Amino acid sequence: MRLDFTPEELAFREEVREFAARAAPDAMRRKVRDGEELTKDEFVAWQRIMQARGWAAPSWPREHGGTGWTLSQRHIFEEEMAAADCPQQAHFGLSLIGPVLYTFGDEEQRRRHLPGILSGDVWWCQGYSERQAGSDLAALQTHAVRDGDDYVVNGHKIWVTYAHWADMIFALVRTSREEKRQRGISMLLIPMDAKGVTVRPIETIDRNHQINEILLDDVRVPVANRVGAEGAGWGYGKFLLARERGVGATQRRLRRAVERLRDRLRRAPGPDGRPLAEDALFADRLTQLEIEVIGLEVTVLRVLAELEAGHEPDARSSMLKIRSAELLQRITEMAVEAGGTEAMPFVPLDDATLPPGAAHAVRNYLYTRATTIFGGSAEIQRNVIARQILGL
Amino acid sequence: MDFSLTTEQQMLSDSVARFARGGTEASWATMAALCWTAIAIPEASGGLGGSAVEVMIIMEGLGRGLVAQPFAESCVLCPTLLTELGEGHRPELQGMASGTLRAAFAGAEAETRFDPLNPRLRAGRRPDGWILDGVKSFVPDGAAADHFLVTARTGSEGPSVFRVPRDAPGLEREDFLCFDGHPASRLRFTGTALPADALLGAEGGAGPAIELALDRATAALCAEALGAMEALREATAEHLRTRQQFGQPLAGFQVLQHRLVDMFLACEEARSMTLLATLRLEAERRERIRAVSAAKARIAQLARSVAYQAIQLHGAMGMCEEFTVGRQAKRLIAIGMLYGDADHHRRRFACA
Ligand SMILES: Cc1cc2nc3c(=O)[nH]c(=O)nc-3n(C[C@H](O)[C@H](O)[C@H](O)COP(=O)(O)OP(=O)(O)OC[C@H]3O[C@@H](n4cnc5c(N)ncnc54)[C@H](O)[C@@H]3O)c2cc1C
Repeated sequence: MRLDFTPEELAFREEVREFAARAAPDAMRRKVRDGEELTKDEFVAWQRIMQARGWAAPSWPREHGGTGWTLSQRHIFEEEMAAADCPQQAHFGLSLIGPVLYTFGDEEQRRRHLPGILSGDVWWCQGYSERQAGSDLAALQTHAVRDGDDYVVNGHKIWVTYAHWADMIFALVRTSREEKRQRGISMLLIPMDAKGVTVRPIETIDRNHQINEILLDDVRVPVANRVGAEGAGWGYGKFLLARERGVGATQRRLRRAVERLRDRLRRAPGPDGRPLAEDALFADRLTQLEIEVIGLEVTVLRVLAELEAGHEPDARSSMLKIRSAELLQRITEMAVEAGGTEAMPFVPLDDATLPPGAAHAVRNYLYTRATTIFGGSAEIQRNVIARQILGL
Repeated sequence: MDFSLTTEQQMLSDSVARFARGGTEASWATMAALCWTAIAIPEASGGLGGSAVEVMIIMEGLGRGLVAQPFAESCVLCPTLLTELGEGHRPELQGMASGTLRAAFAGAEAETRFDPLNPRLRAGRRPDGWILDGVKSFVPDGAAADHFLVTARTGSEGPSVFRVPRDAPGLEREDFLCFDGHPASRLRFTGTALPADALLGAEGGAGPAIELALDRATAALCAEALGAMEALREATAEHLRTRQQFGQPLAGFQVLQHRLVDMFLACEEARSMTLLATLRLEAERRERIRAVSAAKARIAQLARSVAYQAIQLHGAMGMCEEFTVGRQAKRLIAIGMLYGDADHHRRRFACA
């Protein structure tokens, strides 16, 4: 047993560290540090930087334009990028639909869609949820009816992140009604500019526009845009959800998030005029968070080691998602607590200015409430563990 | 022991409920017309001389209906401050009672965190009055206020309070909305010259009045939180009963039932704590401080956990600005931070 990386892996860490130190423009790095959302242009620019370095797709195999890195290398990569305040790569194309396409898509689909994901030129969004189909995704009603070489799609999708930025959506739709609801579902790739696609913004409690409702009204989609077999979409959807929940960038970002929180506490005035970092109550809670992040980090390493040894990904990814979401919620919560009433001002009126960083801290705090809701809620993840690991 | 409402109090409670449901326009003018603005002001100063229980009833109703009016500040905190400073005869109080004049309390500063008794803002003497320099970083409802009650330090020990009209020279105001949608302002005083009678009460002697005024406002906020918590608990129960997933109402999942039970327990505890704070406002100082700070410390925690649960159990809908759930949750989180967060009040309780 050992808890350390090999000399080769450590050399790799040096290589990434060197790149990470210079890769992101200062403005981008500052945004990451302050927890500010990147613009679409910035995400695209960042993807170009990564592609220029040959690291467009850290998690993809070589033959599809990826780095072909081992899981340990990817882990090291994520850690170093996080430590240097580099942005995360937009994940809908790279982590979600890309792998589905190179695993289940046909040659033509790979040729058409993978390059745009690697270059950042094509933005993807994920169309799964519907009003009546949230946790119970198999209840989805949006249906596609065959008409010659096309499907005609009708229905709606909701809570779709960055649909207003997207060029393409990968959507789960019902192509037939079966006894078992999961059976009649297919995955379609739909251009967002297709006739009959309407995107409506939804404002969230962080007063941001990130998620949307999409109305699909007689949208014609070529049958060639179906991924894999008709009625097999549920399996691809699950494949993809496992990736969304699995060992991801978020867990590697927690350590840095705690460090930034510590910085914040050093600057914030506490009771008695001393910095908040010296306040016993805050210092104790920060230490607690730090220790819990370490616990998660080691768990991540254990899961990684199992995957590298060839184990299939399983419900353990749910455990990582639960813990990282809950930790992120507490870290962002404490950043707002640290501000006291200085954290309250949110929207400046007329030419007022806000305390530096206040709005970002609150925005992250409020948005982060969603991390236990999306991609399978914390309750659903617990159900999965109960069933699949504990056999209950 | 008796926690029941009198007939009049029950009527007030019903009337607040109608108001908050939008049965009547939930405006300041309506609150004034219903004489609520006068309720916490002594009769000698032109008010109705009501008790803390009436204030609690009104605030609980406002919280339940998510009404954003500065009742706690303008009708409880500021009038208390004036009367406790021996300025009960001031004509401003009549205006505040009739709702035509609004005051805001300018106490918070970035450097002093939640400590209201050691302001950094300086008040210097000049031959015919005072001159103020410094910043008040967080003044709830500053934009709508006709005048500010500003805490400051002078040459002497202890804080003083000054009355500053909104158009005073050398006073700059920046307005913003807080994350809960409530307005607040930052005030910057640069050589703001004030007449001698701008000082309220004795120089350096405002500490006890500030403490009592904040305690009354804090108890009022506890009641607002209670109302909002109850509303969220009911909305969440209703959502779980009606929302179907996996072919059954969410309320059928036992783990969610238990969450609702936890929300219920939180509401009950919050009610106890609100009553404790409210019914001890007239007690001697130490007992009052322990009651109010215990209540605020606990309610800050309970309110936040109810807010989080309500969002979580509503799923993505709970994240939407459009629905009341998320906005009410944000208000609860904000209340937890106003006039001292849980840390601050635990400390104050322990040191009292
Ligand atoms: C910010 C944000 C971004 C999103 N982005 C996307 C996106 O890009 N694409 C997309 O398709 N979707 C997206 N979603 C939707 C997300 O996947 C759903 O919100 C999620 O699946 C939960 O569904 P729901 O909101 O309908 O809640 P519901 O399923 O109605 O759940 C409500 C509550 O009940 C609980 N619950 C439900 N079933 C059970 C059970 N069996 N046992 C115990 N508890 C249960 C849930 O945990 C939750 O607390 C996003 C959501 C958010 C908030």
